Amino acid sequence: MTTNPHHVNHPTTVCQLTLPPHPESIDAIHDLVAALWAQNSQLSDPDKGRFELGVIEVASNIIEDMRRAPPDAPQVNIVVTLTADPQEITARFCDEGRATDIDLSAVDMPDEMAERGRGLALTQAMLDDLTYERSGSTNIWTLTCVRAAPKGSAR
Amino acid sequence: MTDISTRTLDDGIEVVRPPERLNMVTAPRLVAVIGDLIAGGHARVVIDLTATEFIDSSGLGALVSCLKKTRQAGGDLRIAGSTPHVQTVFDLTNLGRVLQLSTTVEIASATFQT
Repeated sequence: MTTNPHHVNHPTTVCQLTLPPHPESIDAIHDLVAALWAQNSQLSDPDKGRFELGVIEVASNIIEDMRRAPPDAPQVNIVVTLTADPQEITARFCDEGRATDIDLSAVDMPDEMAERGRGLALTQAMLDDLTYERSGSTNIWTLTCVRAAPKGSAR
Repeated sequence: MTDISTRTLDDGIEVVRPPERLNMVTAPRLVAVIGDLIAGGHARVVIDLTATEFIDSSGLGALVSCLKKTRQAGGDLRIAGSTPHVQTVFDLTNLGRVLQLSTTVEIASATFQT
């Protein structure tokens, strides 16, 4: 984990981890999010809640997709980078696994009795932006949560 | 942290308390615990979420699965004590329409009597 205070009044905090695509990595990502909160005590609870949900949903989606890969596919790690600045909290997931066949514009919330399929719809509902791109051999997921203005602020 | 506790009320209703995080790791364990209770003849269940600070779609799917299993066994499922984050997720997914939510275990268990 690294912390880069670019400016004393407008610090940017960066937390990063490289993890294997195992379900057990989910707890490590929860802990990474908690580490980001520990360095940004002024973040609101609603922002923290929706950001953590989006991060865990996307991480779970990546891990589940990798578990469906052919048995002879090479195991690749996931690099998780969380960043907080005064305006936004962002998460970036990078991996060198197979490309994901997903159309985020077509994601929809399933009906109430569904047992699967809510993850990305919930993430889109909670966050301000969610993108997926394939850059060369790298999958890149980017999540953005625009921070609520502090109470009494005119921002 | 991932422990799931169970206790039995005087009227035979089972109270199951998931851990702080109900995610892709712990959700299958919750479904397994409910399955064991049903196999033992206990299909009236209250899931006590007062300790659950985080729930994701895996957790939601597990709750729906548990609801179906208890009803198929002739019982039912109630949810008690949603924390603010959990309540927000229920609202966004409209799960409040199918999961009967109560503020406390006592209120949730009383709804089985009516």
